[in-house]
Amino acid sequence: MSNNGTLSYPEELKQKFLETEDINYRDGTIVTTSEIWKYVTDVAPKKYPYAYDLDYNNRLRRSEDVEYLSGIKVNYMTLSLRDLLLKAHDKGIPLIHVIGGQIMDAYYAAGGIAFRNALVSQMSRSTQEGASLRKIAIYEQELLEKGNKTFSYELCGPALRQRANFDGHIVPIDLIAPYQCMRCSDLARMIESYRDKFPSVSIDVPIVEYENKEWAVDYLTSGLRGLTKKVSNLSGKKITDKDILEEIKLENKVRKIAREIHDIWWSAKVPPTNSIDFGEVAQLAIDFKADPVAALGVLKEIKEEVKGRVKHSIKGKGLADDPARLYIVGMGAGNRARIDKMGGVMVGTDQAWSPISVHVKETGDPHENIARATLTLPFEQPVERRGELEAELSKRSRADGVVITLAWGCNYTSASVRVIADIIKERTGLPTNIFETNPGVEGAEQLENRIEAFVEMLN
Amino acid sequence: MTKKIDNNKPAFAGVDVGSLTAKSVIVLNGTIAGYSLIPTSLNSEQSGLTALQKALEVAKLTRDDVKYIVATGYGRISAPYANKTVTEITCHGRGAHYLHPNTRTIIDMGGQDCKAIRLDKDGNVTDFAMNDKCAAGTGRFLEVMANVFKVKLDDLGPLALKAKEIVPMSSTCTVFAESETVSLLARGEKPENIIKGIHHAIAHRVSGMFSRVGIESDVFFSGGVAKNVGMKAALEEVLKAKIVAPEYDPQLVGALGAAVLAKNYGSKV
Repeated sequence: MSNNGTLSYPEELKQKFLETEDINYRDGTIVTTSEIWKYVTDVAPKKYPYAYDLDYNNRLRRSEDVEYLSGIKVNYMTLSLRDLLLKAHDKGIPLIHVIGGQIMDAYYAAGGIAFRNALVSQMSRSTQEGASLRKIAIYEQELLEKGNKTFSYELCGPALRQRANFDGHIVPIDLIAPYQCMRCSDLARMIESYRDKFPSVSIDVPIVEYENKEWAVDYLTSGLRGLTKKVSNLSGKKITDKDILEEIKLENKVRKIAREIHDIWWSAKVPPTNSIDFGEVAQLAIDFKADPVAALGVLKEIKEEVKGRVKHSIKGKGLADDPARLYIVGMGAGNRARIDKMGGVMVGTDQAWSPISVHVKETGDPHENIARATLTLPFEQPVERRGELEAELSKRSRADGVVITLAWGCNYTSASVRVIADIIKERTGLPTNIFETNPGVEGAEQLENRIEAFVEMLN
Repeated sequence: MTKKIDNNKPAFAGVDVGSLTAKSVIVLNGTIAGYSLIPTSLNSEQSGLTALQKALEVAKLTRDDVKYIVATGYGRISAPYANKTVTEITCHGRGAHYLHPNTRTIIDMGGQDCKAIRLDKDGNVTDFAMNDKCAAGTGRFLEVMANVFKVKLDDLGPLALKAKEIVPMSSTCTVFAESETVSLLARGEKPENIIKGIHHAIAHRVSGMFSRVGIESDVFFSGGVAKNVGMKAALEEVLKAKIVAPEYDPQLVGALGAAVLAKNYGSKV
């Protein structure tokens, strides 16, 4: 299938990599650099060949920037995710499916592991050991079709795939804990469909201008108390406010360092990493690849490596000389390697930035603190306010243009994107375009054709 | 006899492999020297090559005479013969600007998609919108409708112009619109009135894209559907804008734009 070769890490990089830090996990496990090297160069290529397939149609391909050493650790954390989650599950740690966009402090504090769609998908496809890119593409398409047949052809693809994963017991799940009213209009229907099959706890998040809305804080705080109680019951871990505040401190550190990396990256004359590697910074900071302690350690290394690259004007591999800088609003722009190949580079996504942009107060009532932070998440603001925040972020990231994407079937987003696009255009003057898509693993011709035209326009 | 090429005046080619047709245009000495238009086969690379060869034959040139080739359209990803690939959005912009320099807005209606494109005075794209997931309002849609009325595709437009009134068409799905048309005929509605209704339904869909990118004169109509006089009339009515009819085959605008870009790129090589 591959038309561009296979990713491999050159042996001459090994010694340099071995001199970097090991990964320290929350449960005390230490994975040495030697073990990581062995995994990414020997084990994973056999287990997950699709991830090493450098075909430009491969949305799941890993970065080809092999000299970006902390990226190798991110790859390790991604590809070994299933092992980590199964091990945790065997130990009685509840796996909690959450909707994206929220901060995870409460779940981890109560002894659970929160994983959103991206991690569910990663875990699911990891069951297909030895599968080629084509086989994985077919596998994910079949999951979507199962979801379609069971529920509706009108719902968004990612939500349907997750449901098929749980129905088929492909991914173990102990609790479904969505935040209602956040980003996903299909969620209400999905929750209804979960009613009898999976335990769930639902938190209603008021979409309000946060200032002077103490009722909203009280309302959300009450919901969060119910959530930690439920997770705590499942995990068997008795938690105190102090435990939650400690988790908040840890996750604040993760969010802070991710923001710092973004600022360093944005300040660079030439983009120091390609779109895949830059996208992974935010991904690592928002769901930690299921381990906030490990994520913090790797993010510290990423920060130093990115700083070094910026200092020496090193450009991420695969990027054009002066790439068009795309700020992405919405569900993402599909295949990041293809964006780079087209002459663009992704300078940020609002859905990833949203949860890392907040700082949760580290003293006082932790549930209230999380509630207050949640109500300030940029992605979850009333549409006009969100548009203003998108405009600010597109300027801060020095974007040349803004791409807004939405999933087919997403009723909420389809009703809000025009308003957001108009506000961004008005506030920044940046070219802004809206693309509706339902990308699969292999190719997403319509979306990518439009993004390519947009990049040509910017260049 | 093959023309002898002056090295200072080489030929440049544009190849546009679309969903229904493959087109090629040869530019020589700043003018259009040849062109071709053929149905796209299952092998898009071969379709592009055949279109290119036919255009070269019209221009009385050979492949050796061509300094630079730009491929566009959905088939561009399978065009190893090209020096560069460019999206059809950019190419339509260049082609329309070449034919009518005052073009600021393009309506492109092809076999499987519609585009609303805005240009600056130099022919650069400044904004665009495309249909995303539905083929209503495209050449394929009109082909299906022509089949329902048992008329040639070319006859749909003139029939629409004969209508005395518009029969509203509520379905926007190609297949549902087909069954709705059958029902309307069974109810005794006049075919030409239904056909006009179909054209207006498409025009309204297209106008939705212009609500995003805006309209500025001159408005240029390209793509295979631009040959349909009924569509042009419906669009003028709905968009409330005068549409410029290109003097050149509107189906070749993308390939022409690719050839213009080939000249720009090739001249720098």
